[in-house]
Amino acid sequence: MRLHIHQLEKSFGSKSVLNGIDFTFEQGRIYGLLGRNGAGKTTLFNCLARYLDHDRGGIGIDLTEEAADPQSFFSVPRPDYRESDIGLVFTQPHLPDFMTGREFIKFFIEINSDKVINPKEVDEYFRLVAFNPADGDRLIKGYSHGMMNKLQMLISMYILQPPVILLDEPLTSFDVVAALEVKNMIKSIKKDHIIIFSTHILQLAQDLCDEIVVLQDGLLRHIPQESIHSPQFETDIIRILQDSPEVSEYQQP
Amino acid sequence: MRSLQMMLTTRKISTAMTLNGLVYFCQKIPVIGKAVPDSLYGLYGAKTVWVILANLARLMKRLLTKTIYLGSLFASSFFCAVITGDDKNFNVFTDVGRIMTFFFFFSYLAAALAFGKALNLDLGTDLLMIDKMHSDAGKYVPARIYERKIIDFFATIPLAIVLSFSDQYTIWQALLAVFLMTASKLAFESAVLLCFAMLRRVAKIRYRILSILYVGAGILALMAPFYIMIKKIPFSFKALVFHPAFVIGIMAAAIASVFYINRYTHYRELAFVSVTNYNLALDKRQKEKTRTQFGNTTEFAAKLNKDDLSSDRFSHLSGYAYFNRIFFHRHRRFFAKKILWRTLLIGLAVLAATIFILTGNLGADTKEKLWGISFRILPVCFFILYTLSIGRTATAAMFANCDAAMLSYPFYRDPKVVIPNFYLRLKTILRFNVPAFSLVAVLALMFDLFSRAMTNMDAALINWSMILPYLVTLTMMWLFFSFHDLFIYYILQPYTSELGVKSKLFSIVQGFVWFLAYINLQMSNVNIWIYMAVIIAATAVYLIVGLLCINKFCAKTFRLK
Repeated sequence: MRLHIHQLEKSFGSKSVLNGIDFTFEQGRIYGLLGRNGAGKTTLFNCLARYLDHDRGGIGIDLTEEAADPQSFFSVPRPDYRESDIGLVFTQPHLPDFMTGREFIKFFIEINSDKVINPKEVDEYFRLVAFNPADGDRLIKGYSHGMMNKLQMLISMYILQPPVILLDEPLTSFDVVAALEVKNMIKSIKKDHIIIFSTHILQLAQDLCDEIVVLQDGLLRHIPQESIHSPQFETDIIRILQDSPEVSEYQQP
Repeated sequence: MRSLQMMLTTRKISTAMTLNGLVYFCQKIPVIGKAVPDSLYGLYGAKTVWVILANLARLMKRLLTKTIYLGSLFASSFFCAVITGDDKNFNVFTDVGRIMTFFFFFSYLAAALAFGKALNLDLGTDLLMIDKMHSDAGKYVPARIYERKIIDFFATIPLAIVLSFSDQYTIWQALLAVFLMTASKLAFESAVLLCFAMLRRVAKIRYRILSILYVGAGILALMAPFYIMIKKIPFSFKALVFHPAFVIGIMAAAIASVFYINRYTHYRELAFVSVTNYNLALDKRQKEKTRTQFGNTTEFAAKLNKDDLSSDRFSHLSGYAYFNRIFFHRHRRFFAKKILWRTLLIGLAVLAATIFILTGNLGADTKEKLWGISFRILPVCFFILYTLSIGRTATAAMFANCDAAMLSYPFYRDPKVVIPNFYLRLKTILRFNVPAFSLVAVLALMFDLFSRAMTNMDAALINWSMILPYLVTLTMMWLFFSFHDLFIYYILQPYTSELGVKSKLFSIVQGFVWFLAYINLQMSNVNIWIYMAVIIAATAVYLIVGLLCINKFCAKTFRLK
């Protein structure tokens, strides 16, 4: 399975945010998406998850095993991917305040019964993300940021299990223990998914991601895999993000 | 079946959230709230019973709304009969033609145009279902459209029954009329969707254009039957609606509409655009709204020009005098805008009142009642000044743009800083309030003087001995409104870092002042001498006590919550 992006463009008025991105993400890999504030990471995620319409270009999910480059993939007319094929976990949890956690999960499963794979009991789902079932009977309004994020990850990663999972800086609100649990969760499901993870924390990107891509000047730049664990990684990334002329060694794939 | 299950779950969610909101609200009531346990949220069995009751109530409400609508058809028909002089012969059972003309324009056209579900997706349920509950918009919105049409059809059946009592419609004809109404509404739903699909690429204005067009057309459709009736233009509901071409046309349109609704692909976008500008903007919009009220927005910061940012002109000042002058200088347009709009509205209201008194055919008794005593308008001035005072806006802006950050530093909370700062700010707010308050003083005086002159009162045009107390009273009002908000701000400091209001006492005090202003508006028979004496004395006492409190307590109370 691959997620193809071909010549993707998106502007807001006169401000061009995505300038013709060409990239292919592959199943079984965790991609770290890096970029400065305002580089367009959230816009890219919103376009992929269909929360925003893009201006030009194409996005497609190739569910076949055969490798194909974006150009040949888009040269054949094929049905569009479904909204539910891409799950987006927001930085700010996006949950209804006046529902209990248990109600939310229960109703969520009822509403999405056609998309839920192997439905389980609500408490069983809670256990998957180390969420205390007793807290399930409290209002979401009173939950901590971390608890809300766990619920959000639960629905996106364990209940719906979409082929592509986009995580927009999801670990920022977790304490060290919860962050480790979530990191392990992400690693445990990567085999069957394409996971794209945006973060500003370079150490986390090194630790968790198999591939690193940098969004700069509206384009995605792939960082060679061997560089991720090199001692120069941090300096190199900062140089790229500072738009240094010395970054020419990193080319777009 | 899937749609039905989705709608049932939607109802369950809606009821559960209402009940949870109710429990949450009860928990916030002082004293009683502590007795409401959190465990109520977990009583899922009881909530299911409530779901049934709530939905029965919802259906009853729908029936009641339709009954009121039915009443409006009769009332509109009767109104037109009165206008055309046919009211003596008006009978709901014999004058069905007139009622059905209204029914056609109101239901087949106006409601179908302006109140379709696709054009009116709501924030509370529909966006929640699509956005937060991740329901497939392509299935959810059509289900909502069909649900609305089915309920609408059944809720309109009583009209068909009433119609069948007349000798002009059989029950089957009446039911057909209701059925075709539903078909017409269904056809218009797809027309909305089609227009949206065509306009969706036109950034920003797409949805606004669509809404204006549809609601405008709806209003025209509401007005059309009145025009037809009054101008006595022949119109026959039966001849038009039961004509085979119309029946076939509307049924074909409805069937085509069902196909179009089921295949439509822009529901998600429509939902977000119709409620707000794309999904995540939902929370941002609320935050931005709050920030706008507090004069703290990125848009505001971007509008600051070189002159605003230059502090050279205040180089002769130092310390907090300098600090405050810069703050108010940079916010002057924000305050001016607030003052200007309010002053303009008040000016227009006073102008309208003056014109009414000068041109209106008022009896001598009314004139005497109005102008028997000078300065009857003073209590009204209290209310006007309440609405014009910049105090609330200024304190909110001070907090959001300055104190929210500065109060975290101990030196800023030092009595040597807090108290002089209070007086500097008070002086500035007094200065800000001068133009609007002077305008009110002049307008009130002119209003009193000219109205007396123009209504030819025999009494003296104005009682000059009252001028001084009148001016003192208005000055006290100016002092009161300038002082009150700043005083409350320093004593209660009600704002949170998220720009919310935490202090219940603050809300109560502000509510009380509002009530006081409202009571003033009702004081038509007050003895104006006593009124002036009370205002002057009460304000003087309030100011003295307030300033003592500020000097003694504000260094302790002016803290971050």
